Amino acid sequence: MKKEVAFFLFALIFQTVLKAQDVVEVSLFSGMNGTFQIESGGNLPFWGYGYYPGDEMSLPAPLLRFDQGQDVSISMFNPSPEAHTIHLHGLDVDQVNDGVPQTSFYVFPNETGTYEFNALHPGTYLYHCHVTTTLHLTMGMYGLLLVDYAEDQLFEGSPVYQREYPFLFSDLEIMTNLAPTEAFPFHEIRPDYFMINGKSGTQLEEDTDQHVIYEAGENIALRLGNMAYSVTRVIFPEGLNPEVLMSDGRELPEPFYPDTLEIYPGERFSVILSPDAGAYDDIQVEYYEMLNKTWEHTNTIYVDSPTSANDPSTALVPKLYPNPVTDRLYGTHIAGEEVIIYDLAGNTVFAAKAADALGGLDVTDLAKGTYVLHSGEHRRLFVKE
Amino acid sequence: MELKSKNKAAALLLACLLLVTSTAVGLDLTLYLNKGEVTLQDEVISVAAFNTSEMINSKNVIISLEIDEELNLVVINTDTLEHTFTVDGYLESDNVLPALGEVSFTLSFDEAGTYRYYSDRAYGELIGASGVIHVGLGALPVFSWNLFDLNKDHTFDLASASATAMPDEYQPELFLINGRFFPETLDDADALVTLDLNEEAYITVVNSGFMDHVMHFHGFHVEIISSQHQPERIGWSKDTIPVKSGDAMTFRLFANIEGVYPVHDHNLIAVTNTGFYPGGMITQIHVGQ
Repeated sequence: MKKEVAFFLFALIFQTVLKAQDVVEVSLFSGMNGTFQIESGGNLPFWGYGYYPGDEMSLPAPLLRFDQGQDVSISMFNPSPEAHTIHLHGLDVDQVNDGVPQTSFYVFPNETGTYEFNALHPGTYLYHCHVTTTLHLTMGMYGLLLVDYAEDQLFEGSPVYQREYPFLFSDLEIMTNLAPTEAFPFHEIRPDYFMINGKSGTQLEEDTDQHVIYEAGENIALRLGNMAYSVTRVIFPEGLNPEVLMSDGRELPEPFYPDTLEIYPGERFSVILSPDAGAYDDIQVEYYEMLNKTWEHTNTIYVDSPTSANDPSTALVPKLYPNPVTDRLYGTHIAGEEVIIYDLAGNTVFAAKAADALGGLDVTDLAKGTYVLHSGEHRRLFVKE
Repeated sequence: MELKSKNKAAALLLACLLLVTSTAVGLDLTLYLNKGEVTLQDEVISVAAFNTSEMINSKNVIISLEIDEELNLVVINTDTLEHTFTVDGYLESDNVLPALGEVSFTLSFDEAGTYRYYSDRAYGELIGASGVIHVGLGALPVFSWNLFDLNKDHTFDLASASATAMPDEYQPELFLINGRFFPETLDDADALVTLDLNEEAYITVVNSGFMDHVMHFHGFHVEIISSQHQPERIGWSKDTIPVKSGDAMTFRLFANIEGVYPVHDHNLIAVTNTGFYPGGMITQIHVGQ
């Protein structure tokens, strides 16, 4: 019972997805009262998004993930004292869902706004607030949004990958976050704190969830996005063999194989690494000021073997397909001994060995509705038709 | 024999006619390189620009040519300082514009795309004397964005030649498209993209500024058709495109969705006017409105 209650809370806290005529619905809230720990150990205020209801905000905002072709509805409740929006950066949505308040709509305090779109193209995208963007982004109102191709590929015909890591580069100006009302004039905002997935410096070494972990022979997908004020340069060590296949949610005419990948603010790239055996040198991410192209900071993406990491399974993001499903649900990147499927009330409705998921789980007998598959440290939602 | 002479005479006449015709299909254009003060939404700055008259205007002339079409250009320098008329790779020498002088050039381009012309003097280029040439883009509508960033006080130092370079601590405070900043960019028919549903168009972009800029399209991906500085990106379909300082690029847009969609620099200090948001490098795409 305790577990069921806990899971019910989890379901409420982390994501609310309801099925209504095959539309995947996600509920978020916006806020202006978050705090997060910076590298020095202190806490810094930020504005952002969290799952609604009950969750706390995170920096960056929750990673949103959909399957190609899904109709999506994202509602955002705004309990904060100022208006916010969600701009679906790169998804080419229509005007009303674009999140630019002057051409679509504001979500005013204590109101809820809804954004609808079809996840037409697989790829790496961003979402962020578009109200007083210069300020609201540096305060932290952004996140990654991924649209998955059905298999473990970036798109039809791309190399198959076994592991996947999303990395969102961003920055902020500490004084602005401490005193946003004194941030004017906005063109003088100069970031002085630089992050990957909200972590910086030694935090990235200590948090093994941020490490790229692989076994010999595996391909790794990197989903890279830049929401910084700075230009980032991702420097790949010899032996990782990066192949850049996509940018901004579109397949490139020809892949390319850089030692350094430059990513400007708002750009995204999808990269497959095919490491040589034993190639465990780290990836460096350099930040350069747009004004004078001067170096500002370097962060590290640590590259480890499974034996050197605490729990490599936690870095894997499970994928489920097809979704919605009618009979057999297939899963990859399934961690742990078993998979458990819960309904949104927190009731266990299905359990199986994790290994069976690769061959497909027979969910024919599940009632129509939305369920949560629990695998290791991860939860994925799916819809039973 | 007489017949042969008549044929030769006819051939000579035909050759002369062809020569005249060729010249006639070229573009004759007179530009004035002006320097002076302009007021943009109450902001006074010093600019240099290539205009069609002696009247200073912060918007540089946009030149449209066909492939191999001759541009017969007369440039009148109204400034008391020497300038150049430079097109990288095409006109880099014998291109000086003497102070208060007049010079003629003939230019042509053998590849379709977008090119940048500019004065290579600091008191010209760094205060805005830089414009767009687009070549061979055919019958589709063409829109042009000339991006520029500036610090107001520094434009006066540069204009007077008391400063000869950008300062180490460059602090731009105005960000222009075609010599205007948002919302006045929407009053410029070259900056505001207006199309019917399912119409195609080209957008030619030159970055005349000191900084790199990165243009983000709402509602659309565009295909990169040409780039002088990033040719490896030709053919990419993107919604967010770095336009590096000095680059000249061509994008193709397919307006497949109705509505009003912003396009703006995603270097977010550049969507402000002296610190106020929204402003700066923002324009819009209007489809079927």
